[in-house]
Amino acid sequence: MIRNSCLFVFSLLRFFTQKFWLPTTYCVLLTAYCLSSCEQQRDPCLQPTTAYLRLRSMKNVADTTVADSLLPNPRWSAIDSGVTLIFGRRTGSFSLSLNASADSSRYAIQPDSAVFSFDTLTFFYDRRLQFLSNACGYTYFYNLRSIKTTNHNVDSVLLRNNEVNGNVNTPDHVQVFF
Amino acid sequence: MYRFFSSILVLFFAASAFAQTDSTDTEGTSAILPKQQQLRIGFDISKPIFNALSKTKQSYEFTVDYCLPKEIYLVAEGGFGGANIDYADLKYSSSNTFFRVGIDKSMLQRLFPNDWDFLFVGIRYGVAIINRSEATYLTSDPVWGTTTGTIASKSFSGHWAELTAGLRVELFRGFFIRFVENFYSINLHFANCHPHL
Repeated sequence: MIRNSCLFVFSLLRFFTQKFWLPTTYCVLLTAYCLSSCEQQRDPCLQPTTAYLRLRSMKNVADTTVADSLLPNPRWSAIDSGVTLIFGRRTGSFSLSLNASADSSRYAIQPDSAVFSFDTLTFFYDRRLQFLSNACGYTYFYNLRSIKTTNHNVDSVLLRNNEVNGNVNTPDHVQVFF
Repeated sequence: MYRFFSSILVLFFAASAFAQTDSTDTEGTSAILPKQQQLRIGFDISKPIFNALSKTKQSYEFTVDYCLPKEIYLVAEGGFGGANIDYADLKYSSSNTFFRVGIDKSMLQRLFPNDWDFLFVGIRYGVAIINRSEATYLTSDPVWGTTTGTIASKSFSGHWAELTAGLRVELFRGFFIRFVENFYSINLHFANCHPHL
C-alpha cells in the first residue's frame, strides 16, 4: 500500500519534472527570488535589547517583616546624563538602565516630586557584552557588585540579585528601603 | 541541540561523468544488474540566483555521488560562502567552508536498468569552518546614549548530522535535475561555537 503510494507519487513527480522541467525550474527560481527578496530586509528584532535593573521600594513594618512601599510621585534622574524618568503615582517597582560606557551609574531618587528631597544611589557593576542576534545586534549584561546610597529618605538598600541580564523571571535586583 | 531546517527547495543539475552498464536488453523487467556504475558531478544552480539577489550573503555548493549496490548512493557535498553584515548597529563579515558526506537510498525499484530516476532519503554528516572578521557594534539607550566598540576576529568549527529527502530525474541522457530538501538537522558540536563571544 505504502509502496504503491510512493510509486504513484514518484511517477507523478517524475512525469511533471520531465515534461515541465522548464516551468518547474522557473518556479524554483521564482521561489529563490522571493526568498532572496525577503532577505534584503533585516529580520525584525523580537526581543528586548536592554537589560534593565529592576528595583522595588520597600519598608520595614516590623523587626523581621517588610512590605512594599508605594512612592507617592517618584522620579529617578540619571545624574551623569541629565535624563529624568517620571513614574506614575504610587509606584513601587522601577526599571532603570545602566550606563554601558562606565562601570557605575548614578541615579537621584526623589520619592515625591512635590518634595524637594533626593537621595543618590550609585550602582557599581561589571559589564559583559552579549550578542543577541543579527536582528537585534549586541547589548550589555551586568554583574552588580555593590550599591552606595545617601540616607535622606532612603534607609538602606539590599542587593538581592546581581545578574542583570534581561531575564524577568528572576527576583528584583535591588530593594530600596524607605 | 537539534533543529528543523527551513524547507528550501534546492535544485541540482548533475552531469554524468561516467555511466556504464553491462546490461542486456531487460526492458520490461525491474532487475538491477550488477556492476552498474554511475558517477555524477553537480552544482546547486539556485545558489548563484540567491547570490545575485542577496546583498548580504553568497554561497556555492557542489556535489558528487556514486552508485553503490542495492540502490545506495555515496554522496559528497561541499561548498563555500560568506556574509557581509552592514547595519547601522552591527558590522562584520564572515566566510565559511563546509563538507558533507553521506548516503542516499532509493525508495523505489528501477523500472528498467538504466532508470536513474529516483525518490530518495538520505543522511549526511557535515563539518564546517567559519571565520568572522572584526565586528563593530553600537548599542543605544534612551538614558545613557550610544556605546560603540569592536570585537576581535574569530574562527570556529562545527559538525552536524542531517536527514535529507528528494527527487532526481534524468532530463536528457546523462543530465539530471535534483530537488533536495534538508529537513532535519542535529547540531553535534561546535567548538568555540558562538562567533560573537
